[in-house]
Amino acid sequence: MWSDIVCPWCYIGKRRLEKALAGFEHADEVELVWRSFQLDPAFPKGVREPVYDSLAKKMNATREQVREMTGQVKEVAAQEGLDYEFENAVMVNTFDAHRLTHLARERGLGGEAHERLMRAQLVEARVLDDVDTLVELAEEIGLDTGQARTVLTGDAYTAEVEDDIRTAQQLGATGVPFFVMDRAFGVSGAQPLEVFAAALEKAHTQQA
Amino acid sequence: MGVLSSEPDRTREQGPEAAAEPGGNEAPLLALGGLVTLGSEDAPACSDGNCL
Repeated sequence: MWSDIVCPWCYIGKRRLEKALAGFEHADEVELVWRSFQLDPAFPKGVREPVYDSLAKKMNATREQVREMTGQVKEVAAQEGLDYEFENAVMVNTFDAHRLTHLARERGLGGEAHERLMRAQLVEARVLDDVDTLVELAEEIGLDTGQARTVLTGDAYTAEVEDDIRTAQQLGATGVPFFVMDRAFGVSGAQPLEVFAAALEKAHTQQA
Repeated sequence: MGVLSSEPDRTREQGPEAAAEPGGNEAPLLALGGLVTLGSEDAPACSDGNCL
């Protein structure tokens, strides 16, 4: 699964995939690999901007208009048990947070990392380019805080993040969430639960 | 986050049958780098920094 931790539809898609897996007979045979994608790689590192202001600029809309537009995604998220907090959410460059997820992936904690970071951004409105915040979250994920800080203050896993993004582009992904099963079936966007369930069945049938 | 699109009103599978429909506007089979795509083309997603 390719996602960006600031992507509201990715967290919703993640929930739907998890529900599909919960009802999938062969779920124990499924290995879920979390891959990085940046929605806005050009967003300057070190800049922090309220999400509403950032979107208002992008869409040439007022903050109030953006608030109204985000109402729909908040409603859909609520149906998946996610209480999104956009009012105080802050847009940052997510590259370093993605490097942290690769440390977690290497330790077998990729799923935990994506879950915790998406929750931190989308539900708790935490600032995800702040090293101390990310180290605190790393500890909750189960990572060694010293290793996490070393990664975040250096450039480890840069190639891994870039490779994930390049692979998604080669597969034709233009947005996220983006799911690929057995390099055969692609599911793009926060599709309904039934689509994920059908994709899992198809991938399993093909393997058998 | 980016542009929030609306929820799809239906689900469909883009398989060989869909691709073969004359005059249909379904995405072609193997549209994504050799992948068979499943689901609606207009499922909500974020792209180019937009989710709205």
